[in-house]
Amino acid sequence: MTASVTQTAHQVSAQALAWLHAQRECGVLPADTTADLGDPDSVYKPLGETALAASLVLRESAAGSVELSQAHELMEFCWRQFGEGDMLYERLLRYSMMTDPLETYAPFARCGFRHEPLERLLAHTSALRSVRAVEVVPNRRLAVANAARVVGLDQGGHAYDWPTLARATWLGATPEPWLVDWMTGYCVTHTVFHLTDWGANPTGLPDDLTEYVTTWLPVWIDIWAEIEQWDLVAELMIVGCCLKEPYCAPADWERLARAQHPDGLVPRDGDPVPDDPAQRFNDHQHTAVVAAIAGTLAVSRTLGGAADPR
Amino acid sequence: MLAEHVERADDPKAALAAIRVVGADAFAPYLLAEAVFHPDDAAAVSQSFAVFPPAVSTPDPPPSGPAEPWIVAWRDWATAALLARLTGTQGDGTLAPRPEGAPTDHTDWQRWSVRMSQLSPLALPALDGPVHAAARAAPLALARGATRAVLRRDFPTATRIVRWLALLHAEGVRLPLDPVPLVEHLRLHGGGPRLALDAAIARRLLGLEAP
Amino acid sequence: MLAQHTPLLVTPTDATALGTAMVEPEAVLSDAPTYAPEATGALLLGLLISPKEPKEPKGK
Repeated sequence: MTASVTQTAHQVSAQALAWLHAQRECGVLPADTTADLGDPDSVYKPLGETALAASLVLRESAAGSVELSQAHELMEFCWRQFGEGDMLYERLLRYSMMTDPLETYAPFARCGFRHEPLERLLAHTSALRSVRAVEVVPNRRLAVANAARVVGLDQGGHAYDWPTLARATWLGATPEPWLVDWMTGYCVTHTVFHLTDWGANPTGLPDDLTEYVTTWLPVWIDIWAEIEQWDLVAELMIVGCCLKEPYCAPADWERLARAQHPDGLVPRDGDPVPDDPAQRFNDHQHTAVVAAIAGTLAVSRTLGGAADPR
Repeated sequence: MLAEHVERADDPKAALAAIRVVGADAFAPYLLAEAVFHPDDAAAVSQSFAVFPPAVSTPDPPPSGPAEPWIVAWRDWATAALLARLTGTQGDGTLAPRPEGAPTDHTDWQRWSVRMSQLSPLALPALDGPVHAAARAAPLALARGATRAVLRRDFPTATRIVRWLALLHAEGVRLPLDPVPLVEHLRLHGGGPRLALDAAIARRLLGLEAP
Repeated sequence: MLAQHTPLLVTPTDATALGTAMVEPEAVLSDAPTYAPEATGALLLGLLISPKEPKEPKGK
């Protein structure tokens, strides 16, 4: 059972990563981009997500040499897009309250792409009460805390209060599992991602929340797989890899592999996929990122002999 | 109550069929509320079995045989067993024999919980048997099945599964979720008389409605 | 007493329909939650407390 998950998960993530690598020129910032970013969701955010996926492939080192090389090239590609950190630095200089320069920088810092002036500015800015008190939803606050932890800012007098941050989320309330909706599903996945630092530290998820997620995750994967919400399903499969006892069901992996296109594209849902390459990248880049991370972590957790993955 | 239902019906055949379909739940007012069981009620149930006779021999349990006739046989047994109990007849299964087998393999909790929903008329406190033992052995699979059905917005199926959860709760079994708000949610969101009956039975089992 | 004198003719179709009614399968199609912008609360919140985007100051 475990071996079949490892094999299928490797295949899905390797193909998704290869697709991100092959399509990377579809996601370049326009030449006239400044730190102001008229539309940060269009290219800037996807670049950060691609870098996140690549950084986790490198962190886990569970992939083959081709994938590791592609991941490294993607990191360098995205880093160049961000002016090797200059753009993030300028953006934070201009907008002290914004958290995205820190969050975008974290995967690079994890892999040794550092920018000293940005780090000095982050150390100052992220410690300000004004910045810490910015009104955002609780799982976003965890994203900032985890990015700060990765960059090395979660320490001393500026350490984050993880239990309080966890308790403030929807998941932290261990709510009625039968009322979750689509957007709240994403809130759950991100709460787990950040508390466990993308599966690196499963004990970061408090015990009662681990029990809760273990109990209801199979239900949520089932209902969203039935209606082909592959993006959310793959995020939930990452959640399974972040648990102390990982939940990696062979049937889930075979289903995701069946949904993946021969070129590596993983469709975000069951709707028809367009032919236009730019549109394909625009619509499905996020799901490729998610699938690459899910597969990478599943390979790593199943190879790591973590107790009884089912 | 039951006798009145048949006597007042424009179409007696449909009225008797309805008793067969509602099955054991037709006795819920006598078991969970204060309705008084009358010999005429017993006669109405007996007549429904006479007009719509159950299978002569009990079907093989799945996977040896198809699930549907086996589910019907279990529901017929439940009706017959409660009739025997309420009329003081010795032994159960006088009108319908007890089938073999129970859904014990809940690994595939999705399919298993739907099967249990189809057997929900057995989820009454006066009945016991291998199907009840299967439910007691799998509160997690029932809770997951109920949650899945609510999220699919299949409220009738959800309410049927919740009846098992309510029964287990009444027996003191620890559940992975609180059945009380779930029953209330289904009662307020679901529609139709069958769901209303299932929800009312679940509420009685949970002590939310005085008998 | 019940109208036992009424002859009730039950056809095989009746019996089949009864069996079907007793089996109560689950809903074939799922209506599980999907993306719903109105479910985020952003619209309501926006209507109530969000300021309008300021116009560019004159003379700039």
